[in-house]
Amino acid sequence: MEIFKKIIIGLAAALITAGGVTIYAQEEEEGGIVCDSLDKSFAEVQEDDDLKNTFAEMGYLCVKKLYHDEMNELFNKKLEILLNLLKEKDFEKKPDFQVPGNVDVDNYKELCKVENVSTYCVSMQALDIYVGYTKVLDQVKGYLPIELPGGDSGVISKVFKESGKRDMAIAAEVENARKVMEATIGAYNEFRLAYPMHKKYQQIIKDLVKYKQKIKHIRSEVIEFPIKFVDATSTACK
Amino acid sequence: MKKLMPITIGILAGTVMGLTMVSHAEENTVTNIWDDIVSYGNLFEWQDVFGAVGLSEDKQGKDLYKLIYNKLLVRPDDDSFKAVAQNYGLTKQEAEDVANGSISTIYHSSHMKGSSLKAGKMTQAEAIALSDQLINDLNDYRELFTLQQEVDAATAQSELFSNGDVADSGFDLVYDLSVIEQVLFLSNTEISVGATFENQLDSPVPKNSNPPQYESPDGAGTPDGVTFSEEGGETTAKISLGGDKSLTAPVLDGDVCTSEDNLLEALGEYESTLPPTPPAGDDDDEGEATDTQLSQSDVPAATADSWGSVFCPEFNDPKERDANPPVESLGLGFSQEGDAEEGETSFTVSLPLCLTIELIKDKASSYTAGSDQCVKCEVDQINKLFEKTLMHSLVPNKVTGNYLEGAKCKETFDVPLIDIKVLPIPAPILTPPKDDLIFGNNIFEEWNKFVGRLGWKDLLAEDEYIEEFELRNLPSGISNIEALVDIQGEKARNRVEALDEMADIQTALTGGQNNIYSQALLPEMRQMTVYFERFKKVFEETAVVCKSIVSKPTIQ
Repeated sequence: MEIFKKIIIGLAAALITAGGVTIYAQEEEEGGIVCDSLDKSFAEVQEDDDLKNTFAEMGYLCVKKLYHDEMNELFNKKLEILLNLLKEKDFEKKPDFQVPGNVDVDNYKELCKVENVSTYCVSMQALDIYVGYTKVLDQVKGYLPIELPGGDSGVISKVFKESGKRDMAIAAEVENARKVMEATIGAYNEFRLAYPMHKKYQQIIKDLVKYKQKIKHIRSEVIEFPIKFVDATSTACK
Repeated sequence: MKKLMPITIGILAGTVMGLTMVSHAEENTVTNIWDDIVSYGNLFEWQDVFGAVGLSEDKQGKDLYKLIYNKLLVRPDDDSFKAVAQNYGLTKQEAEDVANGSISTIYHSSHMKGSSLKAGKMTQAEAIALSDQLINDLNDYRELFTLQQEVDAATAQSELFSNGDVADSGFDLVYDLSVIEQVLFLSNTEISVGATFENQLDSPVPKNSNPPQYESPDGAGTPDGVTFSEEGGETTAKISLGGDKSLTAPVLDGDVCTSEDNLLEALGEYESTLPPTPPAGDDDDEGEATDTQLSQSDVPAATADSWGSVFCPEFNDPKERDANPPVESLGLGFSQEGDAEEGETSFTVSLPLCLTIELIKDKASSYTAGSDQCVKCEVDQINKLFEKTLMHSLVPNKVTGNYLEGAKCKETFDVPLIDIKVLPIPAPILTPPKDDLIFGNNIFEEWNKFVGRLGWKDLLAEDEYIEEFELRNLPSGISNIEALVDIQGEKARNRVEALDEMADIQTALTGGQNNIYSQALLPEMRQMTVYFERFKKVFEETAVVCKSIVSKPTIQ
């Protein structure tokens, strides 16, 4: 009996330790050390070469994670602003809901504010991030890969092999990131068009139901309306 | 120290296990943090982002980018690995290993499908060939699933919010329009006035009491100790009272009391239980006996002050009843049956039932205007209901008027010093002139009738008589033949002249009549025009009145 007890205690300790080590290792890998955010946008890379190098030095996988995080955050933020905007009265007349007047590719950075949720501004801002991302990826190609599995960084052949795989992955990633961005912009555009209409429809339905209730009330009154006015008269025509 | 040994060993073993697991993961996967985050998330379909149950309005569209990334890049890869793994009898992880160049997985796999080669017995070349085949299949699947997800991502987003399904997006424009249509035009519930009461009280009588269902309250079927039998079309229930005792009672078709003359029945029962009456003529004794019976009643009379309270007569203790049978009064009590066999005691029971009558007052309406009625239905009903009202004039008809004269809304004024209200009629109507003798009759027809009535017709029509008269008065020197020819010629001329004159007269008369008729008709037409204008004015004023009626306060 005593032996079983010790075995169980040993197994429990082993499981707890193994789980803790695994979780620690995963946290270390995902963001604790390598993939810390720079609190900078990829859009700024276009005007800041140092930032581009800083991003590139983080390695392909971390850059990829940061880029997609930023894109996801951008659309989340825009959707949040859009949903809040839709709660306001006459939201469709708000400047932030509409495309800024006379906006074009030269002045969109000035005219498209953070609060603007027009598809044009959102797509241009996403495009800025994407362009910065591709520039960083180009820069990444100039570095030796640092994410070699199994700690084989010191083996030259392994390094070049991984470098070739990484560069191929980067080429595919450029195309994939563009497809995802375009599809997301399309979905955002649909949502931006459909959801306000839905809100308007909801308001119409609400008003119609109210209207229906009023008419129903009138009908209740009409039921009691006399068919004939027997022995009824007035001193005047009223 | 010995107690810490298991823990120490466990920690060491756990550390080794954990490091091994981490190392294995690093070796066998191309670390792709973002893909892992997305693929291990819960964003698999559109409804996860837009229409998830419990998703608040503020969270609509959250992580839309992740969803699309997952659809376009992660899902195709994932699905293709799953498909290939299934085809080759591998786990997904093993398929990924093979795709990453690990031949050993194939070589050592004990459950490879699609191959006659047995695990552990295949050569390296065979394993490589199998690996190449798996990778080719994987690429085909990947291309297929990528195309599938691209099509989905390209088309679904445009149809997502207008496909009539709210489950995939949380809202849908087509659905909204259908709701609007329903509110406006559709009716789910038939409007019924005079139909079954919408909120009527539940009747205690079962709606389908034929055949009667005798179910116990707990649904266990017929209550224990109760048996039913039918005789002569009447159902009776026999209720076991324990032992050999039972109670038999008729079962009513409905849960309602039959209309019976309880007083007459009670008196009849009372008389049947009376002891043999003394010989006739001894009325006084009979009266005393009745008084005696009544005085033995165990039913206390209700006190004078408690008539409004519940009246429930109390009986004596059962032991006391058994000790003093029979006790009878107004059908309440016990009595021994005369046909009981010897040695047995049977009895009939008239049980007193104290019924509590609760009067429930509730508002019931046969007008079933539910909340799901549509606007058009309501308007139609209003029009239908108003039809009856509008068929009658709403204007008071107390004031009499002339023919074709609006007898409505006449202004009166008082004559000073005399209690008379004077009602001016602004435009008395011209009644049609009494010229029916002229209008509508032909004067010649009337003349013929006149002549016919006087008997002149025959006289004038006799041509032979005229000829004879002329011949008798011929001048001398003229033969009869010549005279006859002259007469015929004269007659013909006269006839033609007469017809011409008559035609002229008829034409003149007709024209004159039309003229006269027109002259009489024109004023009337003008008058009618004036009336129609006044009618129009009245209608306009009625519209104003109707508006003012709406604004009048109502008495609740």
